[in-house]
Amino acid sequence: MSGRRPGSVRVERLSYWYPGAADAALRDIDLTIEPGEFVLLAGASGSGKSTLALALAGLIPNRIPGRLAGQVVVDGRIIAALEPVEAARCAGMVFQNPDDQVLQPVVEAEVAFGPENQGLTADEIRRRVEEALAVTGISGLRRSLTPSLSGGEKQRVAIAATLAMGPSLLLLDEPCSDLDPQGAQQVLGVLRRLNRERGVTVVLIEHRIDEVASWVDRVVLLGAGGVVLDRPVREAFVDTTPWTAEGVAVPEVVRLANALPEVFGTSRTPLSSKEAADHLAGRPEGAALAASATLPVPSPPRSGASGDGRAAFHWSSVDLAFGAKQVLRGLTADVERGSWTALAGPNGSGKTSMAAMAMGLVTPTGGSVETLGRVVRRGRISEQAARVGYLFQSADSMLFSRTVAQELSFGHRWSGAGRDPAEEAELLSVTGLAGVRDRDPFTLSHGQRQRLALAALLSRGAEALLLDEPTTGQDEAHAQAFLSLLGRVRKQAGSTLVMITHDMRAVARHADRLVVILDGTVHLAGPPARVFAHREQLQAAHIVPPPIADLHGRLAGPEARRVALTVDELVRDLVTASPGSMATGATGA
Amino acid sequence: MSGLTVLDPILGSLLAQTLIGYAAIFLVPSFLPPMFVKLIGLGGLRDVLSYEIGTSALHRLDPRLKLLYVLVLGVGTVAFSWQLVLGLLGLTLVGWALVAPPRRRIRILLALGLSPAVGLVWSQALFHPLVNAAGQPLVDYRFPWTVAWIGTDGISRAGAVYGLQQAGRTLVTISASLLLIVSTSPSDIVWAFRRFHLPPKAGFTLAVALRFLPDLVGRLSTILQAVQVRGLDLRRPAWARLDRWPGYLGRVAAAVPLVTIPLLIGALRGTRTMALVADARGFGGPTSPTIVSFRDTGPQDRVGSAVLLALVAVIVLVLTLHIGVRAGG
Repeated sequence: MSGRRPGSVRVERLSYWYPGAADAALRDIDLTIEPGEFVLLAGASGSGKSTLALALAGLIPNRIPGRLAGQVVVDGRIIAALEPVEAARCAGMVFQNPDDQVLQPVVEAEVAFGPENQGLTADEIRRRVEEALAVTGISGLRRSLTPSLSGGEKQRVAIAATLAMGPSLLLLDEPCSDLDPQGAQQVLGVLRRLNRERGVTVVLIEHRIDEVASWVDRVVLLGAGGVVLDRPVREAFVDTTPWTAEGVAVPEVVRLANALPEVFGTSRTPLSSKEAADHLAGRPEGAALAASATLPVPSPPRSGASGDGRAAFHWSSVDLAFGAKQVLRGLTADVERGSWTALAGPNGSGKTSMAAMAMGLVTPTGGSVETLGRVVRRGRISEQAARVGYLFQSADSMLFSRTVAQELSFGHRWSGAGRDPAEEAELLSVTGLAGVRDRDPFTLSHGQRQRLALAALLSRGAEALLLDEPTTGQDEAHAQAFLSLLGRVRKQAGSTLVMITHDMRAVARHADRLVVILDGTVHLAGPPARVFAHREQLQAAHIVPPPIADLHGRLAGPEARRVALTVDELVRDLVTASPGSMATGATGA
Repeated sequence: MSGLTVLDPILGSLLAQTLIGYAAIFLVPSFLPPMFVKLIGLGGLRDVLSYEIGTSALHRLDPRLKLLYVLVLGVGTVAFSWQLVLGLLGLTLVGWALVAPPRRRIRILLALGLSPAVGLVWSQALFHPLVNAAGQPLVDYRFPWTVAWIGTDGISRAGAVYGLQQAGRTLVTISASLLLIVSTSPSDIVWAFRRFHLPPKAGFTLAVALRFLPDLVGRLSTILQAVQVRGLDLRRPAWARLDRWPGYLGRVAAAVPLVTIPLLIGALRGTRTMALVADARGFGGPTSPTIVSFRDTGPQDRVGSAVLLALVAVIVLVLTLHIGVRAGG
């Protein structure tokens, strides 16, 4: 009977082939979702998550052609048989890229657009717009122009616009990919409230399982277009084998619990750092870990400090304003040569502007910026590019040639320098692109295009790289592969890396320094293990430490001086702090 | 006077007259577009058609009235003598005073309004078709035969005055249209058009265009930066470094197709999602869409209506009584 209730979903032997594709994108899927459930669709890139969501919304096959077998029943109606406006009443869909899914120039018009198309009365539309704006926490933005909104704000507008249509099923394809960690938690909170208070069924696609696991009821893991695992969230990670096989990382606290069964037991797997901390509180292991975080730590040696010429990048009392908007206020910071430094902070805090100034793309309104010992002059971008590479968030904006090989020689062509075929071959090999040397860059996968853009920057011998959100929109496996590649490049060439990111797990694993920007100035700076110990100060900068660091910080409280960054480190701390009581177990997931 | 005597033979020589002729013909079209780009810039281009958030009486005026103003002023510019057209221009300036745009916007607006005006005066001074009784072109400064192949006989003062009059008419239309755009939320413009029975698809197209124009310019700006990051030097050389200009122009010419491909691919990829989003929002369904407004009517609408009615009355009066009706110019 569940098929007749609002928000219910029944997927019956669903298979789907994209036009011209030999392999099915979805294979024989059977799935039932009860009204009011909050379901996470997980899986590696290409596993069929987005395709399944499009089928649940009725956009496949009505708007995206292809061959479909089986059916999707939402609210008791076969969704493929409905007109789009009817299908939208049953299932609302929020897409990944906030820039492409806000169609109207003003927020309230965007939210009203769907209800207008439904032909509702003007009073009802106004009521729904008010309500949707309030629920998503953006009432203050109702008269704002949509192009001026941040990614996070646009994403909330897209959710509000979908909610205003009153769907009983809400489908969201990576709604948090462009948000800072706190922004992501706020959006997840909105979804949870809708789910709990209004009974809206939520199906969420997300790569950042660490951040969403504690919010959902149930997890469906897809692999090669089929359902690999379908369990309530508490049971989904008991056996991590299918996750490992699909190349999808399980939450770090789950890995910790699995590594320390004698501490966490097997009855209730923690899903968040808070749950793990609650479990450890009052236990000797918790006390031992808290103590380990408060031990004094020696200051790391500093080199390349302000003005000594050894800093790769140095911002000196930098001001930056765009019209009336002051972005940076007397910011002073430096990045040591050969370091991997992460820049983090809320959306719109000026992180990208800092990198853009270091490249000469933006001119400070006050102060100065030095790159590799030289003051950056306005507009001398191509000159600067001979020593510094800038990887844009959208790698597609950086590709200009007809083949991969031509892309690598692009810079040489314009600078007049000769090509070195051996170096080119090595770059292709290092970046895993040797097999696609003669392919058109735009026919490559997202990950390949990003690696090609990096190879193109390295082909000019860049000593330092500025990386703008290099892992956004990539699944865990691809993101880790790309970051590992950067690590190898850094090791081989001694390059300096500056990475703008919201991905705190990537910071914990790879960066040796973290600079947090807030209100146009440096809020915190230091090794990630120290910076992540300041949970309250990070909260002001919309940063949530990665799960293990957060757990360690919660246990130690405000006294924390240094926190563990990985499961292995935390287990090591525990063993060191309470020798004899712990066995050093394997921690791999 | 002795200076004139010395200069006369020089200025009267074929070489000097040829140089003056070419300068008169090519200087304006050579410098106007670069000056236009310089004054507006890529950032300004993003702002050209964008709304300036504000709370002035004009901001609060019913967008339908503002659309009607543009229409009525357009009729006035066609029907009125050029002296009365100056009055209409003054009326739009009152509107600008009410809106009080910031200085950066004024610079862009001036460039946008004055560039076509300068172009009109220049083109009419050179290519005005007036002839005298004998069928000879009316020119005050005749070009020599070395310039004749271009198709103009010389500079006409009457043509320049005619161009000035036409520029005034153009300025009224441009000024009124920009006033509408600057003071009206894009969604209100779309709403007003829809209330005037614009088909829903056309209204949607207009809304999307107004929404995505700034994005497209922003994307272009990013790609132009990226092409330089990849090593293509687009830094403009100093004017005096003539040796560097051919290389610079060559690189700029090479950049056009380079930039176009990622711009188009990015736009097309976005378009696919946009189409899906439009479907997901029920656009184009069988139900007739509701047109909802979020603005409240107020005293400014009553005053605006009264002024509009008065303006219409003046136009009718002028046309009926033949006072101040457009003659030749």
